[in-house]
Amino acid sequence: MQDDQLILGIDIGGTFTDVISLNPSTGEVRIVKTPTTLPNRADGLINGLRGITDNPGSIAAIIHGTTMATNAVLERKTGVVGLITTKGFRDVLEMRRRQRPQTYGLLGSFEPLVPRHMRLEVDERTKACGEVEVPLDEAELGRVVEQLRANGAEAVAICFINSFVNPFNEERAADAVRRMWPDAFVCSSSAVLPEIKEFERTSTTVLNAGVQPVIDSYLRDVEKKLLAHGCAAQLSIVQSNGGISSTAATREKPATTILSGPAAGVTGANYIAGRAGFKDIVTFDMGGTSLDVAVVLDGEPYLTSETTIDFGIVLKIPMIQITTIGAGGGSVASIDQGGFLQIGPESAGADPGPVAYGRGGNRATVTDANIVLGRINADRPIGGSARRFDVEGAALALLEQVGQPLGLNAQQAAAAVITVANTKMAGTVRLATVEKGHDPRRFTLVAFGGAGPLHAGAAMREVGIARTLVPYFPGLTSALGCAVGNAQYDFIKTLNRRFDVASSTALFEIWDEQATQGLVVLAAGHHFTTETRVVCSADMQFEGQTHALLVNFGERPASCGAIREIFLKRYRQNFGIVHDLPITITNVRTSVVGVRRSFDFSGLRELVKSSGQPPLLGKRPVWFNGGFMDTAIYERSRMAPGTKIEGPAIVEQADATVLVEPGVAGHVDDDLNLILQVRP
Amino acid sequence: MLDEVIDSVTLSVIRARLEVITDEMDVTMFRTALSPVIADSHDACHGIYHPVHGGTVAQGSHGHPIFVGAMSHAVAHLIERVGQVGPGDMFMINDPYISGTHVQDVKVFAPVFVDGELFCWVGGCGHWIDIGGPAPGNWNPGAGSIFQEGLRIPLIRIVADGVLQQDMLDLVAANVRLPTWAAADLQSEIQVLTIGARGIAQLCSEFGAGVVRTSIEALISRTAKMVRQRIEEIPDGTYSFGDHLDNDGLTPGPLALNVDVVVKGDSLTIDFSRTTDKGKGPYNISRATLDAACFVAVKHIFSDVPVNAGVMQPVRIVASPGSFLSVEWPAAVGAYTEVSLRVIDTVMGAMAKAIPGQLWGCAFNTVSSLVISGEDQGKTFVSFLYFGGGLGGSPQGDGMNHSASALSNSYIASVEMVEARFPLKFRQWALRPGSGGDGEFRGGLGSTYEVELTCDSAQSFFVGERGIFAPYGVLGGHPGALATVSYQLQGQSIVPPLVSKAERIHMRRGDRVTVQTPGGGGYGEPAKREPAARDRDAILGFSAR
Repeated sequence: MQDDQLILGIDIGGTFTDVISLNPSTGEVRIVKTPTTLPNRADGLINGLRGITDNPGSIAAIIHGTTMATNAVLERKTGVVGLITTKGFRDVLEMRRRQRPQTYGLLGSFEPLVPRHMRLEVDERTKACGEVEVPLDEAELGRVVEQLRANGAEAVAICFINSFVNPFNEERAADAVRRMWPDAFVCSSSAVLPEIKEFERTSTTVLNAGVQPVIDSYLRDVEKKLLAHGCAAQLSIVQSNGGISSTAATREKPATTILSGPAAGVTGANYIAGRAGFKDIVTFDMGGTSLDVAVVLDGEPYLTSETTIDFGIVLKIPMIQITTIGAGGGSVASIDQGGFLQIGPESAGADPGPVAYGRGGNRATVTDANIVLGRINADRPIGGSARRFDVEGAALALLEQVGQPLGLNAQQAAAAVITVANTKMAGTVRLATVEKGHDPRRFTLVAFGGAGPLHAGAAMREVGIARTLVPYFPGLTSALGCAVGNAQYDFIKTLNRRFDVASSTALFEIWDEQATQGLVVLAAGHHFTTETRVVCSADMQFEGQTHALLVNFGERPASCGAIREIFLKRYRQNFGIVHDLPITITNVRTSVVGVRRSFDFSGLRELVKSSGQPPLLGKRPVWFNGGFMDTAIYERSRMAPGTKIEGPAIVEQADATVLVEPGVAGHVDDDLNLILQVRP
Repeated sequence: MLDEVIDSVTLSVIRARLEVITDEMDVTMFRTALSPVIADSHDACHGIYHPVHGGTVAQGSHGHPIFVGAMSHAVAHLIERVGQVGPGDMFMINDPYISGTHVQDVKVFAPVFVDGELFCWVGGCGHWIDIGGPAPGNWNPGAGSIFQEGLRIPLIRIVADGVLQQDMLDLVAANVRLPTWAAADLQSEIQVLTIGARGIAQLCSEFGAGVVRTSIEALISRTAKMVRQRIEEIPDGTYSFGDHLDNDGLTPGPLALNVDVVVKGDSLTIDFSRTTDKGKGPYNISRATLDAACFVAVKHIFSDVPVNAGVMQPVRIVASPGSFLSVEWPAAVGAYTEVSLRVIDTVMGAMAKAIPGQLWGCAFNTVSSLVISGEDQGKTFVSFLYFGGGLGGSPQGDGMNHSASALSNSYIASVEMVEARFPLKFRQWALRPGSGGDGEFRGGLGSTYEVELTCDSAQSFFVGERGIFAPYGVLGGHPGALATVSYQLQGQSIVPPLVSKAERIHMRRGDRVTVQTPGGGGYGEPAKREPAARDRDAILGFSAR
C-alpha cells in the first residue's frame, strides 16, 4: 500500500479531536476520534496522528481547524494588548456603538478586550480626505510604548482615525513600535482591516493582536510536537472563510481563525453534497449547545463580513455566514412567567449535561426529551459516561419542569419540547432560505454534528426543503472540511466613490493589485493546489446608504456596465426593490483561491462491513405524532449503497442517531450518505 | 377561555413566527433605507397590529420601544377614520397629536387580508432626516407651535389599489429638504409592508387563519396576565416621585413632573394629575406619546414580558388635560424625546420606591440631538447627531458606560462615517471621567464629544436636557453629572442661555461644539462601595480628575 502522501484533516472540538486521513492515490479513508486533551490540545492532535498511521513520514499535509481564538476571546484569555489611538479617541473601543445588551431593562456590563489604562493616545491626525493634518509625535509615541510595556503588554494594536484612507501615520507608528520593541506583536488597523468605521476596525485590530500570542504559541507547540513525532508535513489552518491558509499568514492575521471549526463543517458538508450532485445546500450542524446554519448556493457558501462574538466584541473579516441559535442537545426546556415553553438559550452543556447522563444535571434538556421518546437508544449512550441513559430521571424532570405547568404527562411534555425546539430550528432554516426569497425545494439540508441527524428531518418537512443528506460520518464533517478545503487568501480595500467610468478604472486597478499580491502569498503557502482562481467582489450601495451589499462577481467582470447590471440584479433579489439613485462602491475585495486536488472516495465504501449482515437491528417503540409506534432500528455501518428504508425508523451509529419520521423514505448513495425525502 | 382553545405549544410556535416576520421587516428596512437615522441608528420600528382595536400584536426586536404605543394609537385612529379598505391600500401619517412622537417620524400602514377578510394591520415608522419647516432636521428648541416644526401629514391614502399616489408623494417631497431620500425611504417602507403582509398570509395558510387569530388573542391576554402577576407581587400603596425638565426651550424656569403610582392588587395606575405645568416651547407631548412613554417604563421594569397590547391592559394612565404631558394642536412637540424620557424617569423613580433593591439609579436619559446644517460645495447638508451616556448603578453592579437611553437601543454614528459625509471633524470622542453618580454601585460614565466645522458656515441646533436637574441616584446613591453644551465660536466659548438647548447658532469654519452627556445615578450608599472597586476606578481613570 502506498502510504507516503496522506492528507490529514484535524478538527479539535471541546470534547473530541477528530482526524480524517485521505490517501489521494489509493482512495483510502481512515478516521480516528480521540478525546481532546486540555489544556495542551497538541497532545490530542498527536494521539490522533498515531491512530492514523505508525509512519509519520507518510503524512504530506495536515490541515487543522481550531477554536483556540474563539475560546481565548470568549474566556477573555487573550494576550495582554496595549492600544495606541489618535489623541481624543482612546475610549472608542469601550464606547462601542452605544448599544445595550438588551432592549428592555436598563442594565448590562461590558469589559472591553483592552482595559482603559492599557489604551493610550498620541498626537496625530489624518483628515477624512486623507490629508495628514497633524504629523505623528514620535517622542510621545516612545513614552506611550514604554508605559504599555511597563504595564505588561505583549501585543500592541494601533488604530488611528481615518487610517483606512491614508495609513501613513499609522504605518510610521507601527514601524517605530517594532524598532523600539522588536519582540512585541504589532498590529496596525490599516493592515488588519483598511475599512471605514473606527469602532469596528479597532475592535477587529485589538482582537487580532490579542489572539496573536495565543495562536503563535499554540502553533509553535503543534509544530514542535509534530517534529518530535517525526512528522515534517506541511501544516495549514482553516480560516473563517472556509478556505485554508499557511501558518505564516495565520500568525499575521489570526483573527481569521475565529470561525475555523464551524467554517470547516460548511466546507465538508458542501464537498459531500457536491459529490452527491447537490449544489444548493443548507447546513444543519447541531451539537450540545447550539445549531449552526449556513447556506451554499450553486456550490458557493454565503459570506458575510461582520460578526459579533460576544456583546461589544465585533469582528469584521470575510467569513462564511453562519447563523447560530442556542438550540442544541443540551439546551434547557423551561416554562416562563407567561406559561410559554422556552428552549434555551441556556444549556446544560457537556458537564453536567442532560439529566439522563446521570452526571448531576437536573434540568430537562432536548436530549432528555429525545431519550424519553425512544428516539435516542438509552442502551447505547453517546456522549454520556453512563452505561445506560437514565430514562426515568429524564422523564421525571420533564414531567416536573414542563409537564405539570402545562398539564401534560412526561411523554407529552417531551414531545412538546421537541416540537418547540424543531420550530425554532425550522425558523432559522426558513429565515436563511424562504425569507431570502429562495425556493426551499431547490435545497438539500446537510445534517451533521451529534444531534443534527435527529432534528433535520423535521426542519426539512416544516420548511419544505427537498431532501436531507446525512453524511456517513456526521461527526467528522468538520475534519473532512479541513482535509478538502481550498486555499484562500482575501484582500479588502475601501474605495468609497460613486460608481462611474473613472472610479471603475480605480476599481479594476485595485482588483489587479490584490490578485497579484494574492498569487504571491498563495505560492508561498505550498498548498498542493492544482488550479488557481481569482474571485472579484465589491461592497456596493446606493449613494447615501449606510449598508452595502456584498456583490460577488466571480471572475473579473467584463465591463463597467456588467458591474452595474449585476449589482442591480442582486439588490433586487435580496430586497425586492432597487432605488433610482447613483451607485457607490465602498470596498473592493479579492479572494485568491488555490483549488486543491479532488479525492476519490471509493475507499469509503470498504468501511461498510459487507459481511452480509442485514442492517435491521430490531424494533422498539418510538414516539411520533402523539403516541408510540413500533419502529425499525437500523445499524448504519451495515447500510451499503442502494439500501432503502421507510419511516418511521431510527438509524443508529457510533456518533449520531438519525431519525426517519413516518412518511419519509431513505436510501443510501454511493458515498454511503443517507438521503431522506418526504414520500410524495 | 381562549387560552384553553389553543395549546401552549402552538401558541409558542405562532409567537415565534410573528417575531420572525417583524424582525425581517426591521432588517429589510435598515438595509434598504437612505436616511442614516433609520439605516444606521435604527430610529424606526415595524409591527403587526390588531384589526379591531389597533393594539400591538408584535413588534420587531430592533425597533424603538417608544414606537410600540405610538403606532397602536395611529392604527386605532386609522380603523376609526377610514371606511372601505382593500388589499392594495396603504396609509401614511405623522400627525403627532394622533400618532404620537414628532413630525419627523413618518408612519405607514397596510391592511392584511386573509380569505377576503381584514386580518390585521402591518406598519412601519421611520425617522426622516428632514420634514421641512424652519429648522433643518426639525430639532428646533425655539418652536412655539407645530408651524415652527415641520410638515404635518394627516392620515392619507398613499397607495390606493396598489398604485402609489404620486400627487400625495409630490406634495410631501415638495416640502422637505432632501426629497430624493424621502421618496427612497418611502419606497423601502412600502416594500417592507409587502413583506410583512406576505409573511402573515403564509402563516395563516400553514396554521389556518382561525388558529392564528385565536393565538393572537391568547398572546395578548396571557401577556396581560403575566403583568398582573408581576404587579400583584408589589406591595399595595401609593408611590410618589418628582423630577424636572430644565425648561421648555423658549423660556427659563423648570417644568415639574409629579407622579403618583398607585398599586392595588393586580392593577397599576400611573397618575400624573399633579403635573400641571404648561410649556411655551416644544418640550411637550401629546396624550398618545404619554401612553407610549408609560409603556416603555413598564416594559423596562418587567423586561421579560412579550411586547404587545397586553402589557398595558392592567395599567391606567391619568394626566391633567392641558398640561405639557397631553397637549393638543397646535402646541409644538419636537422635543418629545426629552419629555418622554423624563416621564419614564419619574415613573421608574416611583417604582424604585415600590420595589426597592430591584431597580436602578436613573440613566443619563437625554437624547441630546445636535443638528449642524448648511451648504458645502453647493449641496445642502443636514447632519443629525445624538449621543450616549451612563446607565444607573444597579444591584447587579456599576452602570454601563456610554449606552443608549431608555427610548431606544440604537447605534450611535461613527466618527469616520460622519467625517466622510459631512464637513465636520471630531476632536474628541471620549468617556467622561467622574460623571457617574457615586454609590455602592456607581453610575456608568457619560461622554464628551467635541466636533469642529470644516466648511465656511453652518447653523446649529441643540435639543437636550439634564443640564440643571441631574439623573437621580437610588437608595442613597448620588446623582450623575449634569449635561453641558458649549460652542467655541471664533475663539470665544459660549454657553447657551437655556443651558441644555441651543437655537440656530451660526458657526464658521473652525468653530466647535462640545457636548458632555450625564453619567448615570448611583445605587446605594457610597460608603458601602468596595475599596477594590474604587482602586479599579482610579487605575482605569474613571474617577474625577
